[in-house]
Amino acid sequence: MAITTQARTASPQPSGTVIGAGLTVDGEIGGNEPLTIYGAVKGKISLTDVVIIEKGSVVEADVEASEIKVYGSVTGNLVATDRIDVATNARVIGDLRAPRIQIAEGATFKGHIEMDV
Amino acid sequence: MSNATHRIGTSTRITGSVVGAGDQTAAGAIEGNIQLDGSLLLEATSQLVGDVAATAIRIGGKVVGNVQVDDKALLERSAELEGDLTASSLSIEAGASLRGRFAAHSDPAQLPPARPSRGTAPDRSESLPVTERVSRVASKKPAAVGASASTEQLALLSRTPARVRSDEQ
Repeated sequence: MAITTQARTASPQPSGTVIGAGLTVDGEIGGNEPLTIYGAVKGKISLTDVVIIEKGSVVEADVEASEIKVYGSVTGNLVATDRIDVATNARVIGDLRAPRIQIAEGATFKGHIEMDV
Repeated sequence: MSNATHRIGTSTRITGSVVGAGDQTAAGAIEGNIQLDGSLLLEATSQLVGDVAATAIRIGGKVVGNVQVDDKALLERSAELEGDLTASSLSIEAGASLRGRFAAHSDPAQLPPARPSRGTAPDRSESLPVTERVSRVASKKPAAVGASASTEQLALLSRTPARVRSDEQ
């Protein structure tokens, strides 16, 4: 049924932490709840839940999470214990490491991929 | 412009600076300075170590650092602020604790000289307002809100449109 919006239906919980557009966090973000970024983050992100890097966001950070979904732009290495999704029009410069990795057609990617964990 | 909302969840911890526009709610821990073109709501579970500059603030959690807002500041009953506070209008709910100086006006230059709010804690009794020193001697406990306004500060307040409500429900 939900074939058409497959990528987005998984986009979960409005709860957790939201870095809205117009906000810049320079430093380290940690925690164990979902993180959604519309703004800018520089530094390091390390949590045990989902990180969603939304369209329009700019992330210059290494990201560690259980699941990473990229719709925006990331410069940094991504490590996920579960999966990494790089969506169409997303831009990633950095290495990916996760048991499951998906890079959609149209995404820009430069880096290495490692699928062991 | 500042219609975006930002939220720092309960179990999130940010170490570093937060700068930008929009209203922000924080329930987690932040170690670093916040500079916001918008209002900041620090929920009861929040813990902030750092200075804040914002349009308005509502504090329900713990803050160690200086707070400067252009508009209103509200200390909820669960608030614990250790640092200086500057706002154009200030209200404090009964139960809130404030250790530091506050000034309610629009010109920061009128704020009494800052004292070290973190790190080294020299002989505090030197810089404490007279009334607080007296109450400390009397009670041997840290002073709470209501005991910390010196005559100098009260005079300062009376010159401004600030309202201070400390004992209402």
